[in-house]
Amino acid sequence: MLTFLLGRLAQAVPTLIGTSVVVFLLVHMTGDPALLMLPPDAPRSQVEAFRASLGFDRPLIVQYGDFMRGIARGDLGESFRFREPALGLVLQRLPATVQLAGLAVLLASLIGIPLGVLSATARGSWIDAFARGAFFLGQGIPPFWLGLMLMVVFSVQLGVLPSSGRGTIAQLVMPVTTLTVFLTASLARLARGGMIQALQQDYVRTARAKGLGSRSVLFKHALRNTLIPVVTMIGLQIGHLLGGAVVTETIFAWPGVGRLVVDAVHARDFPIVQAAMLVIVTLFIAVNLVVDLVYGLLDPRILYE
Amino acid sequence: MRHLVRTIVAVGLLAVLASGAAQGPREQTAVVAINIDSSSMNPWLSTTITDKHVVTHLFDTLLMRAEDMTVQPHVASAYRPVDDTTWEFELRDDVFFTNGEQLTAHSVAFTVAHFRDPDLNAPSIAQFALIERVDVIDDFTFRFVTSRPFPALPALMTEFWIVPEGYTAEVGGQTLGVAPVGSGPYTLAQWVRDERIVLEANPDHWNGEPAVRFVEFRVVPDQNTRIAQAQTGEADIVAQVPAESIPLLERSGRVRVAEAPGPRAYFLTLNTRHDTPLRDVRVRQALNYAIDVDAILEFIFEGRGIPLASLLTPEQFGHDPSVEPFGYDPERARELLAEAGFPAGFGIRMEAPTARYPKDVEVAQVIAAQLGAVGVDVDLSIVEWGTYIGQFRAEDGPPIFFLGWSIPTFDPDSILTPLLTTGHTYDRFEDPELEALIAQARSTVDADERRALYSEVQQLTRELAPMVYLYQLTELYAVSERLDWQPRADERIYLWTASLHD
Repeated sequence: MLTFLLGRLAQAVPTLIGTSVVVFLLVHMTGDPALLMLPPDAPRSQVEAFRASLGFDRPLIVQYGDFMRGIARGDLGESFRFREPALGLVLQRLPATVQLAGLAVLLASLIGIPLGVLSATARGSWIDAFARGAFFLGQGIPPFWLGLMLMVVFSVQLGVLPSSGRGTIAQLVMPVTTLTVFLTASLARLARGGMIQALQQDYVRTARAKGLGSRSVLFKHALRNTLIPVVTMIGLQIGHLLGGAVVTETIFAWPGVGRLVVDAVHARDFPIVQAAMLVIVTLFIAVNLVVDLVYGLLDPRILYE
Repeated sequence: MRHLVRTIVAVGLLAVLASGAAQGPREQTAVVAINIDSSSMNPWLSTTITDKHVVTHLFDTLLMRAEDMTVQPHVASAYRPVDDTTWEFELRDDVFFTNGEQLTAHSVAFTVAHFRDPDLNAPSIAQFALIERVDVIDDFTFRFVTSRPFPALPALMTEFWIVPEGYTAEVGGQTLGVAPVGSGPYTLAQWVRDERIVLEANPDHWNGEPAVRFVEFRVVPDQNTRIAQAQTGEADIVAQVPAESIPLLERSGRVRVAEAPGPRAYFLTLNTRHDTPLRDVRVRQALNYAIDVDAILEFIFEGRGIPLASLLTPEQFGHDPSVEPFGYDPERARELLAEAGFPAGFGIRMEAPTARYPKDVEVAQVIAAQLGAVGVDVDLSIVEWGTYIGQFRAEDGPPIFFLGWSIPTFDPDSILTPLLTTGHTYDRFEDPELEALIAQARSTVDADERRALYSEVQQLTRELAPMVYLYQLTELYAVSERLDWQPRADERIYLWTASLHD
């Protein structure tokens, strides 16, 4: 187990270095923060002086070397716009993102998996038909449209929910719903498909034949085997949402990582983009590791040696 | 397995309960919905319009533009030119920063040293380059000495925020940006990044305590959401309202739509640095005749705007109304193209940004179609803003590009010099006569003489057509019925003269 963890940690290092190269090159190849920050009447001489003060007059490879040296010291640079350490700015936004992503995934799992199971056990019935229609719709509705429709109904027409911001539970309802609808639908579809397949397996028939209660067959035998792809999906979605649910965060003015990154990309605030990407990739790696460990819990045949 | 679920639920609940913050009471708070958070509250590090809204509440400027855009005394009670290169300012003796420091002539001298400090690396200081030094005469009198005659200096002093010497020297410019101490009508009460900036009225302000006790700048990045907040009454001011939202807003019964001329001139820059047909003045004139600016205003902006005859909007110093816009004349355009040797037209590339200016993509597409109608086959690219302006560092850039330009000083030198004289990022046209005229106007102190020179500049730029002049737009604001506030032609949102009622 320990060897496995150490091995995974060792694998994370090249992944992070690879990410840093790609992100560094991508952000440095488009746009120019000096022109974006300076007023348009700045003479060329001032533009060049400003670029030099940010270190852009040096070869890209030297700038990258500096960046890596900074990382080794835990210093991801200072935001051009805010003139504050970029890592701190990213970490400040992380709780808001974790809150939104965590709640959405939690709710989606608690609703979506049982719905999928229900739909699978009642396969072919009107419940199943209705549920399938709902899953299809839930996955098909784009979040920006759903978010705006929720706002029109609950903020503008009914006046019961605040349309933006973070701080109260009322402010959570619409952004969480917007994210949850899509997630629930996709988890439910996955759970339904998995369950239908599992219920046709020999081991389920055997379990039934030896007289186990239907509840025990359903949850101990069929569901447990279905959960592996579902957990994979949950892991992927958590990783994805931690990178910021940009559309939802923007519509509801949710102060998360996604918005910070998008603003930073627009302003070509390289240090923030770089710091955010490294944080997000690190979290993604961590979530993947947790998912792998959960596989072991679900299926004792999966051993990490 | 059950344990895992329980842990996840616990973490989730904790995350819900962990947030929560205090604000001023809603009935005493005017809420302004803004699209992006402030980046720094140090006025000399400010870059965006949001930054300027906020810092002008926190810091006093030497002079202040009144609602009619005339330059009025503020912290400086009087000013006069001593000679062509010296301006004397007198300061009020009752201005204090909120940490108790008094605002004096020494604060002004310190402010200049502060924004010139290379460690601060302030972005917006090019316009102050002509100020050579500050001579402190006594505590409340000082002189700006300029390296050349500088008639636009008073106009520029409306953008001269004074910072406290003791505090700034102690904490540094970066900290001043997060924990600002100024002498302005408001103080910073709360700043939650990417959420809100809450300002509280300064009861000891020399100009009297503002009537609105709290001002909240609330960050709402999505335009639809800002409009929704005006409808619900969550926001009291929403700027840059698109014309098509007006009926929606008026139906809500809570909001009035107020308007003011916008500070921006929109135009197409014609790059004459390369060997293209644009080098021929007849071609440039033809392009001006080929575009139906009135139709663009009517059909895209519901008639809210006016066509321009030059780079100057009517609010700017020296705008000459006798210089008239080209007007739409496709016949004339075809004739001019034929005279220039392009009877069958020509093909050319044009670039426009997206999500930068109101309806920028729509306008660019209409322009491309209208130019196509006279035989100029436009290859239009729509480019994201950061990438778009990144390419102007090199001297080439696309042959035709779309820009909007606003001037906080309302002094035409701030638009003419960077666009029509060499050495600037967006200059793509050279004419020695024009350049000499602009240089002469920029250093002529006598206002009437200067106005006459700008008249000549406007006539010459209409004739030479270095740009395709488009329009100035009327800016629309949604303002709640409970707030007594008027928009300004400089786009600034100031609340110290506003009041709230039920």
